Amino acid sequence: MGAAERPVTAVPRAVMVLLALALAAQITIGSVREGPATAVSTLPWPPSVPTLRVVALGEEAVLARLIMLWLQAFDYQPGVSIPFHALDYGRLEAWLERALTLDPGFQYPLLAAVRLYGDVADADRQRRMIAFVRRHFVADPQQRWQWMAHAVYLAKHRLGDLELALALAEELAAAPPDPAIPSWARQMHIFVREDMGEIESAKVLLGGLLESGEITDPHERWFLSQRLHELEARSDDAGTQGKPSSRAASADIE
Amino acid sequence: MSRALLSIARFTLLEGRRSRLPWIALGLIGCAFVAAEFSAALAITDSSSFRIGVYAALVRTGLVVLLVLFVATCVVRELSDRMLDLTLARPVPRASWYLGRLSGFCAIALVLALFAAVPLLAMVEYARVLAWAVALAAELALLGAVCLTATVTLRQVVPAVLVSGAFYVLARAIDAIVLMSQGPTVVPDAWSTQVISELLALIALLMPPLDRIAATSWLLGSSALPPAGALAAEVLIFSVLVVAVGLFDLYRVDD
Repeated sequence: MGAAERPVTAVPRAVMVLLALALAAQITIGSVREGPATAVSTLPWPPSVPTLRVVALGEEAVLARLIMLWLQAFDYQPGVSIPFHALDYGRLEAWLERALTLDPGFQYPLLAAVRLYGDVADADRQRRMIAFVRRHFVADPQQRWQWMAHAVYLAKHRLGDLELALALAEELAAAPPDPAIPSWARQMHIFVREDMGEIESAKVLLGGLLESGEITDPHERWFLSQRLHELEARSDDAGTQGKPSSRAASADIE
Repeated sequence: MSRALLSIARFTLLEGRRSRLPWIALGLIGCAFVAAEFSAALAITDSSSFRIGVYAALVRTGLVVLLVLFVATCVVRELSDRMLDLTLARPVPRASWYLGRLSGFCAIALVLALFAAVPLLAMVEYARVLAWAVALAAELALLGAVCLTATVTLRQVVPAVLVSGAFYVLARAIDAIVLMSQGPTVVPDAWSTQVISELLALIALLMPPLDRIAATSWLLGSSALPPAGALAAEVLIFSVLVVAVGLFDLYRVDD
């Protein structure tokens, strides 16, 4: 099939001229053409999981990733950046659910929930994203602990809801033992309690942790011991200042 | 030249009829119609828009694939049987063969577009169906020209169909690709971003905006019909460019 080529001079001059003119015209019309139109559209509800499974043609993991890319691109519709607080979080959560259902091992929806959509300055939306992560953490703590840890941070520092942060941290601590979940993540509830002023409880938990032998790393043991001493010092200071709650707590511990 | 051109165009039409292209097209349109009815039956509300949308989208893509396959197989068969050599051995200019073939394919494109428009007449106002059918015929003719040029250059069915298919997908997606390359998620200062952005702008310059032609939204009434003159000019200029490239290649081939 490899036909030999004749020289360019074999091409009639009219064809060469036509080619040059057409190319010039195409470039001209291409450069004056109106650019692609952008329009802000609202986030639709996702199709059902069975429908998505049909669409995926067996490649559900790929579809989950495409959904997340599309969702991410939706926030940044070309030419227009849509603030997260303008998104319908009910629909957004439904899309994240779908992506996670299609590929349960896919971490992106949980990451997006806490790090992108949970970072909005709106308490209700933040709570919604935290609840999403909390709900899905139980299904696979080994893989999803980091998002739960981030949810603790979100509740504590961004939302300022220490009760919620404590509840999340305790769920994290109560996860079945697994080397994949680092001890610092399991210890978060101690420090949340400390921040809540529950120094005695924090002391008890920290002391218990050190005595349990779960912490084997010498540096970590040293750090936690230092922290325990600090807590004890603070507790003693509070005791000398006559804080009844701390004293009572100390008595309970003894 | 014109007599030879007309004869070649007529033989192309005859070839289409003998290869049962009309029946295949009608079968494809029937399948698209059944799929559209099925989707309308599944929809809880607004079933008419599902019917029209699914039908138009399926039939548009299906006819493009059908026409591209037909063009590539016709031309490759002619090249393999040395029929082109026989034709050119007579006092027939290469341009006549090329333009005759192209005219035949354009006529087939027009017939296919009319076939596709008939079921829509019962569902959509005539003006919109007419605009859509004309645009579809133009799109099919353009793809016919691209595939003819690709086949003349590549001389094999598979590469020619792949090139034509890639061109079609790119021409329909180029606007969206350009917009994505400018989105805030890309790193604007990275050299790779700038290179890709410039490259895409260059490709967009040379591509016809097929995503704005024969859009299903025209039939659904969700968008106004675009100015016909500008679109026609774009299609015409690009068609001339493709024809010029095809002729350039054809004159350089030494059989």
